[in-house]
Amino acid sequence: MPPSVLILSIGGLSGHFRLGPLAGFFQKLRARYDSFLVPPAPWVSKDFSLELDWEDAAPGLETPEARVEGGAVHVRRWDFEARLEDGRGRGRCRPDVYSFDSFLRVLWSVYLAKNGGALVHAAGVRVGNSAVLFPGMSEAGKTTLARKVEDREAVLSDEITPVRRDAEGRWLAYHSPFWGEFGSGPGSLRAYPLAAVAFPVKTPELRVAPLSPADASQRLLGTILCFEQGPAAARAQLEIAARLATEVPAFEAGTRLDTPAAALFERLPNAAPHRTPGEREVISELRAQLKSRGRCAIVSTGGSMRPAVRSGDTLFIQATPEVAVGDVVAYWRPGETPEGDKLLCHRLMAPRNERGRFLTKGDTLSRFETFVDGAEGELLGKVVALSRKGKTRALTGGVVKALASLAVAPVVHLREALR
Amino acid sequence: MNVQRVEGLPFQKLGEQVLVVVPKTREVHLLNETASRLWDLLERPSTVPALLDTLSAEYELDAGAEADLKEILAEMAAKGLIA
Repeated sequence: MPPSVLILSIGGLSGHFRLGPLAGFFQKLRARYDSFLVPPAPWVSKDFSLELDWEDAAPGLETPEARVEGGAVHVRRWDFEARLEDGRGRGRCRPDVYSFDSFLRVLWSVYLAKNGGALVHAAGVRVGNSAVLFPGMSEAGKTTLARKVEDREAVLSDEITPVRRDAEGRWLAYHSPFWGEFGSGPGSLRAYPLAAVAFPVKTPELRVAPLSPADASQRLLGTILCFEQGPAAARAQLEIAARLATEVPAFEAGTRLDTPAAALFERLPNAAPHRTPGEREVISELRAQLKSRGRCAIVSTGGSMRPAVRSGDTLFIQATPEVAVGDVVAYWRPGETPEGDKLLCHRLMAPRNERGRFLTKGDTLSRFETFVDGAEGELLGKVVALSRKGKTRALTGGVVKALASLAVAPVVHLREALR
Repeated sequence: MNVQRVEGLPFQKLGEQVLVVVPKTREVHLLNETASRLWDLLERPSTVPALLDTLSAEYELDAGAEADLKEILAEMAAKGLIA
């Protein structure tokens, strides 16, 4: 059985895993982390890359350990171990989803710290187009708060939320594959500017009190995941916490068990400066919508499918693995960088071959395109209907029912949906 | 007797306060304004009389200042911040 490849994107950092063969386990991992996968095309840039074998390691080490010296990273626990040099290396992990999940937490705690970010013991909640972070250890009320949020899809995590400072100096919070008792949420690769950090406490009445950067830093330090020992790691953590606490307003958020989440959000800043999501983020959100609702809509740009599809048309996409020659299929073609990702809607020219390879073409283009589903690209669905100037028509036969059910699909605007 | 910051402790000044991390115990200490000023002064070895001299030029100290200073220094030493 050939090795299997995953690219996981968490907190805006991409980890590439070439996994040893183990029947059925790869599919299990793909299903568990599907919202955080990037099509593992060989040209996609990675922040780190690991070859991973499945076996137990270092029996006896109960607490995870991480050592970082320059470009060398060594992480281990009784059930996993990995060594990387300048972002490339080998490792082994017990073939168990909980071991792999812990392994990911330790890896990302190291690599986020190297990139100005952190995994924080925190509930993360999207409020509008921003996020609020609620840090706290066990029993602080993170899951209770998450359960009170009316829109389940607005919960980024109830347990561990990745945050990172981007190149423009904005703090961003991300969806997380790491959940507590809440279970899990839909997830995507979308990042949200942080509007506030609010430490939940139990109080007799709703109370929101601002915190000094020093006070907020001290509290944050208790909630940042860090498995490295020593002064250098402590210094790095302190810098991250101090920066976050200085640059994002921080509060103590006192609530009762019956305080509605909305009442709390009204008392907190919930609008960070606007940020336009990147291509990869938007496409991953579309994938999440297709997964949760089975359908979505996008506004097309470009002219590769004229006259059937024109720029400005609304395309209704249905999630389905069943596509036939002649269908207009929607697929994710990753770029070398996230900004190079494309959502393409082109016509299927030949049936999928035994290796999962598709052959597509834009109606006005002279060249064919191919991709292997699950490797060089990801099939998201097919375009079943199109709306232009208020009139909707099917692109495939017998879809009157689909048109009715797609009428309320959320519309996602993509800058370069078609080319 | 000289006192000084324990060498190598990560710290961050935030406004009038200082956060100090003791990696060995993984404790994080938030120093108030007075302790933060002492932290500044203890970048180099100093003595209680010298510290009192400096502080009396910056603050109005009362008769109990020496005892208070020794108490703060003892607390900082107990937390592993100075030696």
